[in-house]
Amino acid sequence: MTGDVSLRDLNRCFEGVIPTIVATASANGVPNVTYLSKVRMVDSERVALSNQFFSKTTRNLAENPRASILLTDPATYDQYRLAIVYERTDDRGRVFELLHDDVAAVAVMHGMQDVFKLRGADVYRVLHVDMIPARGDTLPDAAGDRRPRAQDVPGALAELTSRLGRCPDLDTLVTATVDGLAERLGFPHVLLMLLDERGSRLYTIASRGYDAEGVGSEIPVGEGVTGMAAARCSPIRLGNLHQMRKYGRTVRQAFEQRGDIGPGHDVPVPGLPRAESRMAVPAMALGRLVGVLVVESMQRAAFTAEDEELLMVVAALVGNAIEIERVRDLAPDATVSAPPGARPTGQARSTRVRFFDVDGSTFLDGDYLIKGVAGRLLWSLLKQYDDEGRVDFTNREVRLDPSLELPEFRDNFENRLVLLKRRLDERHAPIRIEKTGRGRFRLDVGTGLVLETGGRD
Amino acid sequence: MEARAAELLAGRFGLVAGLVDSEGVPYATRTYGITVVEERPLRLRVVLPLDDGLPLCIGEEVGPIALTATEPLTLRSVQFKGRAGPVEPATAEDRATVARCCDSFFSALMEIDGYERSFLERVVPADFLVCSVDVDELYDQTPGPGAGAAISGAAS
Repeated sequence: MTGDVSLRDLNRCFEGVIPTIVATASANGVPNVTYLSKVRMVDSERVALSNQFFSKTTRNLAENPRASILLTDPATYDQYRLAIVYERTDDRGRVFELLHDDVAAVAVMHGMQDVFKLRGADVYRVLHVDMIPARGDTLPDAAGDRRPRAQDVPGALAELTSRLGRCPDLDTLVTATVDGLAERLGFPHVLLMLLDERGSRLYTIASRGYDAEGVGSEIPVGEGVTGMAAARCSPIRLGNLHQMRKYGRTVRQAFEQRGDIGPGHDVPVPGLPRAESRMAVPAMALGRLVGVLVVESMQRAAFTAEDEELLMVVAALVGNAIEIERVRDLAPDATVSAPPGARPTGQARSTRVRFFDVDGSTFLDGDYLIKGVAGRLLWSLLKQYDDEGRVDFTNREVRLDPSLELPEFRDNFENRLVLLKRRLDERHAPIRIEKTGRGRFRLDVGTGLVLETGGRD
Repeated sequence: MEARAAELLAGRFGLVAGLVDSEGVPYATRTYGITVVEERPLRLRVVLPLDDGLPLCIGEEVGPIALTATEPLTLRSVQFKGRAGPVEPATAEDRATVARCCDSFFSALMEIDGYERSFLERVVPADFLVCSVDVDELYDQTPGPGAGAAISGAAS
């Protein structure tokens, strides 16, 4: 490669924010020009282009290996023309996986996993890079301006680690995680989702920077960017969600018109409705997926590879802390840190609680509260409160209640209890849950109750 | 002109070009203006950037060229293939074409993609070259499994 520009200087260009242009030519010199969905840097001398369809570009390369791509830096608008020569097509390995994730991210956003797949990663050697400078003054780098400077990151991470280490329980831990990521590491929109008991869905346990906290909202594993990060147990970083949505919609329509897939819809993704950047990093502990940390931004290409590494460290800390809490919860304290509670008398106001056994959906005064294990848990506690006036419980006894339908192995009871507590807090419900010691909690009912069931019972 | 191509060129679109040098080496670039000179057979006048490293000299024939026009909301795209004549310096009329085409395309990008105009203008070069293109073939270049399919009755 010649010229003063190194491929490593072009990092932002490879985020795909501004579509790349590729020109090829047939053996008899007829050019072809089109946009590319993704270009990745392979090493300091090579780039890889995604190949989803057996296109004219691919056919031209079989005849004439030379090509030209025009990249644009989304921060400065400087353009770079790369003279490249085709070397090989990878259908497995690191480079393939990189591009495969990019293509799969578009596919999962539009329900095209079965038809929209990477055929191969075309690897090219870069012969020359020409810079075409943008007109006007140099622009300040807007992306990441709320982020600590590189030299301040270790200190910020150390403080966050210290905060997490001091958390006495899961409820405090999840709050400290999202708050710490926002306050210390400059990620204003953060979502922490945990894996459910069956390993099939992720549910929100805590968030920061959204209009509603969204505790209890769910997505299936494998669906959307967050679900894909969970399914693959590997991070996904996207900085061009708007372009990806447009591109995905158009490709989906083309498949629909050919009859390859039926009419569908975009998969709703929890989070900022107009997010441009999203990064989802799995939280693992002892080789198992615990949950996913998600950060978002309205800025294009807001997150860097360094941000991804940083979030991987935090996700590992959080994942392990949650796992420790789960194991610790199996052995409750002998001591009770609060005196036994009693059922209050003379409640002036009544709350109507309606429970649907078919899926555990629970409504307070007609408003949806929660479903699944957390819904069944609340119903079980309220029945005991209503029948026996009971307010103090231990995790150990409650988790044995068969009506909760908990799996025998890794029941995630503590996570569900915290989810229920946070959901009740978020809704300012007249029913609350307070932790009274390790493995113990109290039901605080500040209302009269009318318990009703609907559906299968 | 073929209906799809006519509809695209009548709306708001971005335009990119592929050229080849005398040794068959391709070059990718942006174009900044286009005018339909004649509809049957289709002849276009295309504005290319000056000083961005393209192998073009005033008075020399450009040769084979590909132009892809894309509508920024739906990404509906048509590729025009043909042969370009000699390179000419841009006239005042060509600069007016650039202003009109950029204004139309940038307004679409601002509305659809949320770009700021001042940023978009950074990629517009200071000066331009122009060539006429006789279009022989049209292709549907909309992203998807059918991208690259020939559009029948193309340039007639």
